[in-house]
Amino acid sequence: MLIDLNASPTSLPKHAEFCIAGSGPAGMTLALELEQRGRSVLLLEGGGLEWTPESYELYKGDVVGDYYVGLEYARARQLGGTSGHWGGWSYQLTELAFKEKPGFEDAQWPIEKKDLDPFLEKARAILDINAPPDDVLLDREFGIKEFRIAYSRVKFGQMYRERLTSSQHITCVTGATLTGLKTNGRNIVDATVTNFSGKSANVTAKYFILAMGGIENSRMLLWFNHQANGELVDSRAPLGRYWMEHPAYQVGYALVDLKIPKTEYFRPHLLLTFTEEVFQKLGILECSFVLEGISSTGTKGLLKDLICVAPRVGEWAASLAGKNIVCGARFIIGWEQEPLWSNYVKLSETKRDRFGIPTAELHWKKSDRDRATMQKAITYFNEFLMAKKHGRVKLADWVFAKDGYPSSGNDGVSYHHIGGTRMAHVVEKGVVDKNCRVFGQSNLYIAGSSVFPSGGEANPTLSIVQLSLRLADHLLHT
Amino acid sequence: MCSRRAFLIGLFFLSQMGLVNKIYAEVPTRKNRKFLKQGWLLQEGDV
Repeated sequence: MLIDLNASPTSLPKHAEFCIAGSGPAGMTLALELEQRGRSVLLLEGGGLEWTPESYELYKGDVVGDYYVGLEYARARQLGGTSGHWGGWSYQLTELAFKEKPGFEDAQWPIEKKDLDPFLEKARAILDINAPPDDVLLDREFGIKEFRIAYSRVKFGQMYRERLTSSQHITCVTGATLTGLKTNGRNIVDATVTNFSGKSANVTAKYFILAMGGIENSRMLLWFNHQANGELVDSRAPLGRYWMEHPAYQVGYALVDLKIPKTEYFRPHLLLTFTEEVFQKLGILECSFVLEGISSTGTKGLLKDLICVAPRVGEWAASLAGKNIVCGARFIIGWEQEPLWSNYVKLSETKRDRFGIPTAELHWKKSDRDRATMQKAITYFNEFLMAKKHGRVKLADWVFAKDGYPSSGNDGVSYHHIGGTRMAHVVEKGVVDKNCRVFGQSNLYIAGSSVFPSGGEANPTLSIVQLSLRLADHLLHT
Repeated sequence: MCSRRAFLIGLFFLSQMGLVNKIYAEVPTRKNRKFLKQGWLLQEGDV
């Protein structure tokens, strides 16, 4: 059943077995999985069926630190959440992402990749993708891997709307913002839900799950905890802390004789990364490179430039170009950001949204080690290109400068909001335990990338869906 | 005894050759000086 709380303010059910706030990939996956097992679910969506100016207003916030896009542009408050305009790149986190990494003690998960693997096939079905071809080890000596991914076209709001409408077990309510969460210190007793006109109603449930996104999960939990005078979240928990992105930049151009494959929905691109041994040897977190093919005119321009600057290697490249072997490419790197206490979401002290809730203030800065990750990775990749005669790269001036990053448009932004309610073995290190349950509360859970303790180098949605399926499994066996 | 000694000496030379080959294999990636020129990352012999 699908209800609009703005049109029918009294239609909110008073009780559900599971109350899920947020209908993006995390919340929707959880709702669909619980429905399939015959359980009753109340799925709350703060926005409408589509994006509206009102919902856009609710996502405004401030960013302090490094350049970032406005928070209202970085997410979508609508049925299906930010999957309404995502890129669809889907691949798994590596085994390394979960492991302890020397020098990066906080970049470790309390679970392993094998804990998510059983949910992979179902996650792919939800995203309507097949398994991509296996990775290819391009160079054993340098540990360079070509990795393959799947491209999902699923927008959750469109894909699953009919199923929600006809469902006997899911009541999906749009225009329904979760504005309160009452605890008795150990359990959530009830939740307050408010429509755009400010009309509120309470709902009780056996379990409450927050799946509102990688910024809202922190913001709303901070607010609910404030309302509960700190009785909701253990004061030792790093609530809102360790917020991360996948910094990604075009660092220049490359002329390479590597085959850049065509893709169905995007420009031709070659995806490369290092083996686990290389990351360990370089002492950096994970990263990946995208070589995105450019036009033949662009390639000719790069060749001309290289011939002027370095005639000998330029002529070699030109001779290969004559045989259509050399390609020009945008050279893009994205990397796993170091998880830091000092990157966090907090409640604004001066600004409030239409419900009177403080807006989000994101404090976010890339560290010196983040910069070192980028520089070491580029240096190593360049050594590979030179040693194996695969080409040359032309870098932007800022890449090897001491500090500073480009700061316009999508510079540095992947729209991947990670951390804030991280998962850990102990409350001093996390907000939720390995089953995504908030420490200290028996029936409050969190779904989505806000529970990731570290980001790895994979786009997060496939892992988010896997984690939601695992959470459903846990809730059904609790 | 003699064959054991020959085996050990042979093993020693084989292991040294492996080491030499390994070092040799790494030399091409290390010996050329790398430098930046007008944004291009280059090495000796490129210009």
